[in-house]
Amino acid sequence: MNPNIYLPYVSEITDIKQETPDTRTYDVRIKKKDEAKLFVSRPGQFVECSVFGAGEAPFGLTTSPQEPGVMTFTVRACGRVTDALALLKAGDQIGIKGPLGNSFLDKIDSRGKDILVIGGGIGLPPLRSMIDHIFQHRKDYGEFTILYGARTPDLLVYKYELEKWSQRDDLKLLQTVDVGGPGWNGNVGVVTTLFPKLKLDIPNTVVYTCGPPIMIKFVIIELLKLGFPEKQIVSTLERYMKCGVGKCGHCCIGHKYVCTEGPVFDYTEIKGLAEEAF
Amino acid sequence: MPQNKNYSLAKSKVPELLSRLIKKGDEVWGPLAGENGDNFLGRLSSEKDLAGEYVNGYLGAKRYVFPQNEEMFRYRNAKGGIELNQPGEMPRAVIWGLRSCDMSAVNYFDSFFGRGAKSGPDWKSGEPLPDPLYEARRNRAVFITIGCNVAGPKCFCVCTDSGPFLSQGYDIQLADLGDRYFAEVGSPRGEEFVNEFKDLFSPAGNGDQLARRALENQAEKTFQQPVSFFAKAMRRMDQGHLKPEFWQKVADYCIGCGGCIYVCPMCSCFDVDDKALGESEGMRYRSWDTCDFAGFTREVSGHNPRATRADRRKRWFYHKVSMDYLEKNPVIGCVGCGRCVIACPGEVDMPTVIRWMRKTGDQSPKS
Repeated sequence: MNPNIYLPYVSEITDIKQETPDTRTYDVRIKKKDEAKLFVSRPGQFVECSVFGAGEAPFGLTTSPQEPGVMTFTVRACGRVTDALALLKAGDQIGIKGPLGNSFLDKIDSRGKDILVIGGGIGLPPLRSMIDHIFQHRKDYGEFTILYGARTPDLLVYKYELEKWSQRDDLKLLQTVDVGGPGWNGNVGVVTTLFPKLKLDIPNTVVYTCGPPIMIKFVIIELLKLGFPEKQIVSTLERYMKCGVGKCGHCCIGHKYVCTEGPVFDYTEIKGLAEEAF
Repeated sequence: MPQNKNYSLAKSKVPELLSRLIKKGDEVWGPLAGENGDNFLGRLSSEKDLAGEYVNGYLGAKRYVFPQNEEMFRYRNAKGGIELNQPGEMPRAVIWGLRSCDMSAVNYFDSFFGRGAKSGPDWKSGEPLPDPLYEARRNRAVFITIGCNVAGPKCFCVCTDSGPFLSQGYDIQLADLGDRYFAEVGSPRGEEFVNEFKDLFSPAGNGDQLARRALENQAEKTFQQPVSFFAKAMRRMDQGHLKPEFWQKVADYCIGCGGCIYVCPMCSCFDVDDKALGESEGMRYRSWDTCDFAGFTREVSGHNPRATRADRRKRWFYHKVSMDYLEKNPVIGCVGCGRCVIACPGEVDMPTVIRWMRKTGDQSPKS
């Protein structure tokens, strides 16, 4: 008999980090060894996470672990499942379906090219899986730039990583916030205000972006103005999602399922959709 | 297998056939007589439940292959951690007297949910996998369909290539020849079924096949709903003739009840939720959902990509009759059963909107 695509793997939360007042990062491990070895994720993929009794919700994977059966995702508590998840502690059990969806690696082959990553708020976590991948294969890629913005300094996630990244000499990290605050000496403004500070070899640069729809919309407009080729603009799309496996119909944009045909799309695909993606 | 084996089944034997199936423990589904002349497909507890004369009930085979609420699995907080249990095996199901349109919808479901699903999920095996719930229901069912001698007042299956008789896709297809049914076998499963009830089925009489063909020709002349514009409507949609004003007009007549979607034999969107069954256990289940409701796409932030009724009406018709979806699916998203015509209080059902689409392109060539 075929495996039941709706049946999650029973998994355990192994560690939790508090990122911002309402956002936590969960390290998770699939319990059964035979199931764990089937779980090998690629950057950009996501999981459906079950909190039994509350339901399930999709979360982007935030690392590219070399070991099968382990994963990390970052979740803001803002709905039924995510609120229930926020009450759990290390050692508690959840369900995991995945890895689901496609990968940044399924789009244009960016090896040998310069990389520009543009993240907004809670959109940085899914990009981090690609950032991880690039660090693991750093020699395969050219100049590496990350732009990261959030509404306020409090809402920047992965401050411990940002600190480390800012010290690397093989990466240029620029941060911005919409509204500054005490102790913030960096840029103030939306993420596109960082563009003039960059020297880009545009024909040779691939952009990966993820963030709130309104941010992605304006990022793409600016990138197109700068002359970026459409195939080199790679973005994730997001929709309210239920099953995660291409059946329930919730996440369709036009005739594309975000869950099985995405979540990663390049701009040639996005502009051809019958509904507005952002 | 030899093609098209034909048998004869006396109508007087049908109660015995159904009664033997029920006694044996099979699930028998068929047209049930509801109140005030309403019919719908449901499970028969006795052969006497079967409706008499009917064209088609309000709800078709979807009630069986894709129930309104269906358990996906159960979870239990045990001492060693969480345990998950899948639904168990079920007995054979015999779906009796299904109309051709509803069988065609099941054949579409096969391509979407089950056998040969193209856009299936692949997270467990690396191969596209069928929907296990659908697959289990499909695999335990024998579909015995019946061709329509007379079209219903709202039917238009001749325009969608899904009736009034079928040439394939059924296990057994019956044709009503008065005192008897002419039974065509369309699958090994249908053949097995006939063999199991050899004492009730007899070889088809000479001339019965010709009589069935004559019935089909006659039936095709009885359609009252003229809707043969699907191809043109699809071109209108794909060439961008249908502007926001068009969908606003559809939305103005629509009250957003979702009725068309619930009765549609091809609509298959669902919601997923958990339900507690006690202190430490519960079940995950799915239930019908509709793209007609604002909550279908509303995100937790309050942002809704399909915020207006016009957006949502466009979505439904786009899913059913666009070239984009025809490239994904083997057929368009309508089998011409006419249920949306009966269900829609605003009269913006499929045939009406198809007619509007066709005319719209002619009137407003402006881009």
